[in-house]
Amino acid sequence: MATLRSGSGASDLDWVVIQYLHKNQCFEAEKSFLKHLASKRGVDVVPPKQQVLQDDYLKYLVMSKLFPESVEGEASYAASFRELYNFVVGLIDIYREDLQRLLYPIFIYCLLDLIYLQKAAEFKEFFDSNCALVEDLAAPGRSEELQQLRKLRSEQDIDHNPVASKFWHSRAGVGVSEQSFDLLTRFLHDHKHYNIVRILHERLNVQFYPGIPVRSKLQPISIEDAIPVHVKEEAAATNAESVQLGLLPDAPEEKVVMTQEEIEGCTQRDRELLKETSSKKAKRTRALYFGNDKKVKKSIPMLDLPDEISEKLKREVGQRERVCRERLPSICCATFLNTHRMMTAGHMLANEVDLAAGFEDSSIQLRSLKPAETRDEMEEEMMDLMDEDEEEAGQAAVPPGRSIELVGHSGPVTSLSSSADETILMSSSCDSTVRLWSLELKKCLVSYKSHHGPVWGVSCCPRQPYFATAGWDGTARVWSTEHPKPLRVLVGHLSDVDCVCWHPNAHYVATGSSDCTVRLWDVATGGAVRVLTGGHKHKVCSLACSPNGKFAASGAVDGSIALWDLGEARLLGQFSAGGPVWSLDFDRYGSMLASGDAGGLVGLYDAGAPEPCKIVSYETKDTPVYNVHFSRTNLLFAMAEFGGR
Amino acid sequence: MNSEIVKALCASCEGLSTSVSDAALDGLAQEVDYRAREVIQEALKFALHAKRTSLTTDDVDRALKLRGAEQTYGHQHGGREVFFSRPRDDSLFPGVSFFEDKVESLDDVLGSHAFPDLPRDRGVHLHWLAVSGTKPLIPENVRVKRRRKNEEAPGALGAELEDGGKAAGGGGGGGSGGEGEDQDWVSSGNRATVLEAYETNVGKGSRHVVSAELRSYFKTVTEAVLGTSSSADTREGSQEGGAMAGEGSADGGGGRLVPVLSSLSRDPGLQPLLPYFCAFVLRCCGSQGTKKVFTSLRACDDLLALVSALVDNPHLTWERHLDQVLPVVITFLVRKTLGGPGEDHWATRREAARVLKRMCAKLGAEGSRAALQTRVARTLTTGGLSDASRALTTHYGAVVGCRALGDAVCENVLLPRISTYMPLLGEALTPQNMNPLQQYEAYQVLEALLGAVGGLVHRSEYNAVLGSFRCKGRSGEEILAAGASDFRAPEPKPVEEAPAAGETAATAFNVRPSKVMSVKELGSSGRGRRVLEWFDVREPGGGGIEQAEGEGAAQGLEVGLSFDLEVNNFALMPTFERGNIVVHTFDVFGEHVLPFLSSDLVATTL
Repeated sequence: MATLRSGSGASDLDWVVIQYLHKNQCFEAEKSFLKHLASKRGVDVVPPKQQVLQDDYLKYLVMSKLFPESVEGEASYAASFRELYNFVVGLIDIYREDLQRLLYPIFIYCLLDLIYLQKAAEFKEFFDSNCALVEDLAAPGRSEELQQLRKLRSEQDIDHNPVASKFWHSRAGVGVSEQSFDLLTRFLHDHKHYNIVRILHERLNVQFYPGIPVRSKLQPISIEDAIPVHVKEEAAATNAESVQLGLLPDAPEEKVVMTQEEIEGCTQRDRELLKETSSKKAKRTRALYFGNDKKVKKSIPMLDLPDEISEKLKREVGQRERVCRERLPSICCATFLNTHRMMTAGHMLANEVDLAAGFEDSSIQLRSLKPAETRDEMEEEMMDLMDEDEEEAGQAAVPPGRSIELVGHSGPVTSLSSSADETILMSSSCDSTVRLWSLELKKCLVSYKSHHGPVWGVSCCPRQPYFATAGWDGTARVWSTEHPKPLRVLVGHLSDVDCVCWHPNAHYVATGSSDCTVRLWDVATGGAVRVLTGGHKHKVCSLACSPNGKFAASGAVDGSIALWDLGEARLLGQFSAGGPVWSLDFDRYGSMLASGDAGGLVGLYDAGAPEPCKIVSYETKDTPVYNVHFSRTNLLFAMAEFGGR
Repeated sequence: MNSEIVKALCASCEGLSTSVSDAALDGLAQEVDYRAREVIQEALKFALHAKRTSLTTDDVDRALKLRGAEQTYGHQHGGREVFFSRPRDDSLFPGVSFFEDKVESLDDVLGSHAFPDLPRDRGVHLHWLAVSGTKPLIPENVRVKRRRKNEEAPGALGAELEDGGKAAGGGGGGGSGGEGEDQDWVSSGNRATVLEAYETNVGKGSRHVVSAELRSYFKTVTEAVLGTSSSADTREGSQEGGAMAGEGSADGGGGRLVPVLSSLSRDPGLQPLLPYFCAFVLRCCGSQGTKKVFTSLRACDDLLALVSALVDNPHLTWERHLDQVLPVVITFLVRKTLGGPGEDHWATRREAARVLKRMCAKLGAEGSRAALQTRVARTLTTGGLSDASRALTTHYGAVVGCRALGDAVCENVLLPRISTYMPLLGEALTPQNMNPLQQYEAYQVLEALLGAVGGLVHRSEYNAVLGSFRCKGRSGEEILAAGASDFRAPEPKPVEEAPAAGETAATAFNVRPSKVMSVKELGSSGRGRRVLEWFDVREPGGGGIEQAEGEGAAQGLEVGLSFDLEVNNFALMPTFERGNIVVHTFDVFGEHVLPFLSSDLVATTL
C-alpha cells in the first residue's frame, strides 16, 4: 500500500513529474529535476522508488490541476464526505477516535474547494447536509467557525473571512498514527475518493507516529498560528433546550419537616438555598431538596407508589441523618466471600434489607442482611441493650441469614436494579436479554429481548412501570414492564451505552457511553436534551442523579469523576478515584457524593459546596467496591468482592 | 501483526505457502491486525462490564461469538490470567508471554485420594468501614497481615485480662474461678478468627457488627464491673462454683477490674463497642437498676471508673454517644443521695466532676466543647444551685462540677449566684439549726464553694500577688514572727482563703515540707486529706498565708478530727462570718476595687 507523505515537502505535481520521468526511464532528467527541486526549494526528496502513486490518482491529479472543471468526481464532494464519515464512525474505537479529528478540517477544505470552484449551490447543499455531523466532532471552541464559513459566497470572500483565510492559507496540523492513516488512505483509494485524498495530502499537515493510536496523542487539530481559540462553552443546540428538572409533585419525601438543628447542620450553600426557598412560608418546613422547589407536571402516565411503601418512605425520611462535610456518614461494607472473582454486579434492593449480586456464571444471588434466627444469647443481650424498636416492616425478600439463587440468564449478569415498590428485580445480561424477577415468587416472570448484543445496564424508574436499559448496540431503550418491546429507543451515542440511570422525576433518563459523553434524554419524546462532553477522556462506566434532580455525576474507567449541573449543562467539578469507578451515589439530601472503585476505595465528595471537592476516601482491603448506596436514612452501604482483581 | 506473522501462518497452511504475493501478505496482515484489535476491543468491553481489570479467554470467546465467529477451544479460563501489566522478562521470546502447563499423568491424579476440598459456599460479611466518618480499628479495616491462624489474636485485648485473672488467682480465694473464665475467654478469642468472624450475622442498618471477640470482651468487662459492685452476689457465686461465694468472688472481681479498666483506657479497637458500653451504663442507672446502683457507693465508683476509662481512651470518638452518658455522670454529681449512710459520697461526686471535666476536654479536642460546657454549666446552675429546694448534696455537686469546668465557668456562672446563694447556705449553717447532718452538708458546700471561688481568685490575682509575697514571705519563720498584722495584704487571696481556715490552713502545713505539723496527724482525718486535694492544685505560694493563721488551722483540725457538735459550732461561726465577707469581697471584686481593699477588712477576717 503506497501512501504519499505530504510532510516530505514536494508538492504532488512535482511527484507526478518525477514519477513520469522515472516510469519512462528518463533517469538523467529525473536526477536533474530532483537537484533542481533540492536547490530551489531546499527540499530533500526521497527517491521515487518508495513513492509509488497509483495510476488512477496520478491521472486525477494531473487532470484536476490542468482542467479542474472537467474532472469527474468533483461533483461528489458531498457523497465522498458522507462515505468517509460513515467509514470513520464505523471503525473500532481506537481508530475512530484518531481519525474523526480529521473529519472537521477535511470538511472545511471541502467547503473551501467548492467555493474556490464557484459552486455556490453545491456549497450550500454540502454545508447543510453535513454541518450537523461535523458539529459534534468539532473541537471545543471551534463550532463558531462553521457559522463564519456559512457566510461564504464567492472566492473573494475567502480572503475577507478570517476563518476561511486562515484555513486557506495554511495547513491544518494534526498528528495521527501510521496505522490509522493507512486505513484511511486505503479506504479512500479503494473507493476512489481522490478529491479527499488530495485534500489530505495538500491541505493537511499530517504528522505520523508509528504504531497504533495512542490516547495521549489525541490532540485536537491545530491551524498553524491559526484562529485564536475561542474558549467558550460549547453551545450545542441540544443544550439550549429547557429541561424540567423539578421533582414529582407527590414525592413521598416532600413534606418532611426539618428541625432547627438539621438546618444548622447544613452547609453554607444549602443555607443560602434554603433561604430562597423557605423565606415566605413556615421557615422550618420543606427544603429537603435545597433549591429545587419546582414541580414537574406529569407528562407521562405512571403508577403511584403503593400506600404502605410511601408510608414507609415517609417514616424513614424522618429518621434520616444529615450528612455533610462536618458530619460524615457511617459506611457499612458488605464483602462477598468465596466468589472466585465471579461477581459482576451488586445491588441493594429497594427494601434496604437484602442484597442482590450478579455473577459471571449467569446466576443472581439474593442475600439477607438480617441476622439469622440463631443468634447466640450474647448478641441477643447486646441487641436488647440497644432497645431498638423492632417494628421493621417485614418486607425482607429473603429469609434472614439465607441466600436465594436466581437462575435464568445465559450470560454474565451485568447490572441489577429493583423497583421502588420492592416487588421486582430487573437484571441485564450479556445474553442480550433483560429479565424481570418477582421478589415474592423468586422466579423470573419476563424476559425482554430487543437489544442487539449484550445489555450493559438496567435501571428501574422511580415510578412504575418503566425501566431503561443500555446496550452494546449504542442505544438505550425505555420499556414498560407491561410491553414486550421497548417504548423508546434512544439513539445518539457514538459507541456502546454503558450505564443508565433515571432522573428522580421519572421524565428523563441519563446515559453514559464509551464515547466519553453523558446524555440526558427526554422519555416522552425520545430525544436527547443534554449532551455533556468534556468531563471524561475515557469510557463512562457509572452514573448517578442527585435526589434533588439538579445534578448528575459520572465516573469513567480512568478513575475520573465529573459532577454536572443538568440545568445549565455545565461541568461543576472533577475528582479522581483510585481506579475504574464502578458505582456512584448521592446521599438523600444530594449534598454528598460517594464512589466505589476498582482500587478498593470508597470515596466521599462534597457535592453541595460551591467548589465541589473530595472529602475523604476509605480503603478496603484491596476489595474492589462494586456498589455504593445511600440508604433512605443516609447510611452508606458498600458492596465489595473479596479476593478482588 | 506484521506480514511476517501472516507469512508464517500461510506457510503453515497446506498449499498456500507459495501462491501468496508480498503485497497480498501486506494487505492481509493489516486486515488481520484490524480484526484482531476489533475482537480485543469487544472482549475488553466484556471484561469492563464484568468489572474486571484483566482479560480472560471467556471474554475473547464472547467477543468472537458476538462477531459471529467460532469461539476458541482448549483455552478455557482456569483461574489464571494474564495481566496487562505483566512484566516480560523472557529474553528467549521477547514480547511473548505464555503459560507453563504442567504435565500430569492420569494415574497420578486417579491414584491420589487427596482430592481438593469442595469450594466454600459464597457468603457475605458485613463490617463498618466508617462510623460517623471515622474508620474503626477492626480487623477488617486495618491493613495488617491477615490473622488467620494467629495465636495471639486476642492478645492485645486478652493479655491484660489474663494478667488480671492470674493476679486475682494469687490473691483471692476465687482466683481459680477467675482464671478459668479467662482461659475460656482466650480460647473463644482464638476460635473467633477473622474467617469465623465473617459468619457473624448482622442486623440491618443501625446495628453494629460485633465480632465474637468483642462480644466476649464486653461480657468480661461488664461482669468485672458488676462483679465488684455486687459483692456477695449470688449470681457471681454460682458462676464460680458456689463454694467461692462472698468475699472471695468479690476479691476476684476487684482484682480483675483494674486490668479491665486499664485495657479500656488504652485499647484501640473498642469503637464498635462504645454504644454498647453507653447502653450498659445507662441500663445500670436506668429505671430498673436505680436502687441497686445508687445505694451502693462502690457500684457508683465502678461505673464512674468505667466511664472515666472510656473517656481516657484516646482511640474512641465520643461525639454521638456523649448525650447518653452525660446525664449519668451528672446524676452521680448532683444526686440527692448516693450510697449508704455514712459513706463518703463526696469523693464520688468529686470524681464525677473530674470525669465531667475530662469529657469536656475530650469533646474540646473533637471540636464542640463550648456548646457542651455551656450546656452542662446551665444544667448545673439552673437545676442545682439556684433551686433552693434541692438538697445540699445537690448543691455541692453543682459547685464541684462548675469548679471542674474551669475558671471561666466559675467566674461567669458561679460568681453571680453566690451573693444570692450564701444567705441560703447561712440558714443551714446557723447554730440555731440543730440538724447536725444538714450542717455538715452545708459545711461541705461552703468548703467546695470557697475552694472554687478561692481558686479562681487566687489564680486571677496570683501574678499580681506573687511579687509582694516574695518580698514579704522570705520564710515561714519570718512570717510567723512578723505576725498576722503584717499581712496587710493588698492581695485578696488571704481574705478568700481565710474562711477556709477551718481546714485549709491546716493542710497548708502539710503542703509545705518545712512545717512541723506531722503528716500522720492530718492523714488520720479523712477530711483533712480531702482538703489536701483541694490544695494540691493550688500554687505552693498560697501556703504562706495560711501559715500565719495557725489558730484557724488548729480549729480546722479539730473540726476534722472530731465530730463534736459544739466544736463544730464553734468553728463554723467565724467561718460563716468570713464567708459573708467573701461574698462582699466578690461583689467588690466585680467592680475592680479589690486591689485597694483596706487592711481593716483583713483585720476583721482575722
